[in-house]
Amino acid sequence: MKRFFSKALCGVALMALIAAHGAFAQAKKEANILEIWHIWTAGGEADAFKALTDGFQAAHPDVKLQLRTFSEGGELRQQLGMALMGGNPPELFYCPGPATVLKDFVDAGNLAPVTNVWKAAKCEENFDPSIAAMYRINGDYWAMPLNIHSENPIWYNVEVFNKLGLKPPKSWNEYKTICDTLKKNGIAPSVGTIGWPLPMTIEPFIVKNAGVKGWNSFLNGKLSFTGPEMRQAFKDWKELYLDQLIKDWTGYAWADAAKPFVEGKAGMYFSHGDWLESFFKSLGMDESKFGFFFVPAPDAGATPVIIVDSFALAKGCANPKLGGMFLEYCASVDGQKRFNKIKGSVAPNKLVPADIYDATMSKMYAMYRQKDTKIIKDSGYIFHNDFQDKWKTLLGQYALTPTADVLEKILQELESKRTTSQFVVWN
Amino acid sequence: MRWMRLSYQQDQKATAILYLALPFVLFAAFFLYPIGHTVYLSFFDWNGLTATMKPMGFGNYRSVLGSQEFLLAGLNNAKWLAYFIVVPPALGLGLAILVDRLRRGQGFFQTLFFMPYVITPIAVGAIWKWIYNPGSGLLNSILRAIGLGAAAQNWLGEPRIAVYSMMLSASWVMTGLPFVLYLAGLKTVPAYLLEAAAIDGAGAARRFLNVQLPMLAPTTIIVEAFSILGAIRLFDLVFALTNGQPNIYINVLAPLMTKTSFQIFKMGEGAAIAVLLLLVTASLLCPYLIIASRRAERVKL
Repeated sequence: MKRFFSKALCGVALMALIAAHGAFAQAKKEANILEIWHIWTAGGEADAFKALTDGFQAAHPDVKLQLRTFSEGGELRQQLGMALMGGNPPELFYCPGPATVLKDFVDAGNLAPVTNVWKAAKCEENFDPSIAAMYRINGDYWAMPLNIHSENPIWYNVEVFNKLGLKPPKSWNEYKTICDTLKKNGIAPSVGTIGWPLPMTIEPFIVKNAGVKGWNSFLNGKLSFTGPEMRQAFKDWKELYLDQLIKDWTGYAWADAAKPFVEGKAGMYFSHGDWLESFFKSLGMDESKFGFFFVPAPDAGATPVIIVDSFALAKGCANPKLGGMFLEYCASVDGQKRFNKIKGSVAPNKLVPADIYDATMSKMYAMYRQKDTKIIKDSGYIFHNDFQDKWKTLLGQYALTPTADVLEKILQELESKRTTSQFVVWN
Repeated sequence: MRWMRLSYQQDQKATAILYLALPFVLFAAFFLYPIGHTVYLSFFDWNGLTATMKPMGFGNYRSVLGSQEFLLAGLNNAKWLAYFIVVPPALGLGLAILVDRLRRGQGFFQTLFFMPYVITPIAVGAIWKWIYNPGSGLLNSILRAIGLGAAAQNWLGEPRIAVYSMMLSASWVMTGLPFVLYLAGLKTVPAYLLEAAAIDGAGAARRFLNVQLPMLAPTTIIVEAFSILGAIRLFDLVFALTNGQPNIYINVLAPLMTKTSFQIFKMGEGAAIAVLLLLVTASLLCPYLIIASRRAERVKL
């Protein structure tokens, strides 16, 4: 009898294991759980997302939010890939735009279209057509934009500049003069960081040498890495960026690098996103103590590289209806007001009143609307992951060992990679 | 179970099979199948998202083995291997010898030295990133405070020293396991052997070298096996110390495999790296275990 029960127990355990998997998704549906994956882990970004979810929760108290954060997008995509393979994805996940990875997900059939949400929220009327175009693939919309970030303003410490009688430059020659003045006075011209932000720092120099037209060629894979524009861009990158960085810059993560800037040990934070604004404030820096500028391009004024934070709806999730409700809230004036006011970004919804922006974001908002401003897309999301990784890795290699030999080697390698890679042409 | 009419021996066999069935199913599902599928995947071009996979033959292996990033990562793993098989075991053994001699407080020191081993690698990474921060980190702050500011370094950012800085933090974590294993091993050395050696005039060093160390051979086999595995599979600490983005000079194979599969979405190439890792591990570990076990048997005899 004893033996019979012990054998039976083994069988029951095995059956329970098999049944558990199927029950999990059903339980999630019945519990009205909305699972959202995002990357806003700390500081003003986390506060902004909390404000958004608080607003949604107030409007929908019966929905249980299950939030999961990741340190950065690559890690999120890694986990997402596994969740999709396992048939248990979250309802919503952070996805930047415009992004080739969004297209990859669409082509693979991993996303549910959200065209009905766009219609219900009147997004085509209320969003700028250039923003709408980023999310339209094969006639449907596939994600909901929440904000617009510029990733390449050059931040400056107002106190340091005022003390040395410096003003934001209107040309790269003036910029070089600023760097020399800062160095003479024992202040590092700029902070910097290795890793994912590195490609953002060479972008101004590609635009400097190839113009906006050349930048678009670069994004479409048509600009040669061994041609004169790129060679000069790398030369400028070394002289005007790498040689101007604070000592031991490679030991700082992007958030750590803000500290010496805030403390006045560096005069600038070169080409890093406007999400830094809320971060400076969280480090106790008053808004009047920092500013930003763009050095004009040869064929345009300011050339802000934009990225748009958005959420996409995973196909096969347990509660797609709840996901749609959250996306509709993200598109709403209330949702975008709550989020962008704290995040330090500009709302894509034109109905959001401009008075939510603080002084810095008001300047950013005004800059977007200047006639000679040319908004350009971010290479980090336009390139396929394969090419983007090679680009980032080789830039990192050169940044760590900036010799002529290494430069020639990486330019040849990038050129070889460019000619064998596929590029998505975005309008 | 009279209706089954099994003999006693048949019943014993059936019981054993039934008890082993569940563990075997789990072992097959979570170990054998993933390995087999990974090998299979390594011969295809697949982004992990689409339903179709394109056969590549050995294309992924050629691509991986011809990649500078892979070769540099492999070289770094070799450095870690040389380090792991020497330093943590030596430190662990040294600490075990010292603690073994204590009349009181052994439990306290056991806990103290083993604790870093059980801390999650992300927390270890956060602690050591703070220690190594070039501006305001603990290490550089102490060096500057005692007048050794010139020795302050960019511990994790300077390619020439970053790997060695990470090895130092690895020592803090990885010494705990050899320490507890060796401490337990020292306690199994028969006291009469040590007494006999002492009577014969052997000093402490001689007793250690000629009595305790040979008796610790089985423990050393286990410690070194863990060390080899730890070096080849190294991921968490490198990932945590580099914010998930180790550069080309400090990367090792496991993070490279993860990045290739799940960030670049080249599952086939990532699988090829995984298979190569498996082959390297097996080729190091299997001969080692066979040879070392035979030697340990001879020592016992």
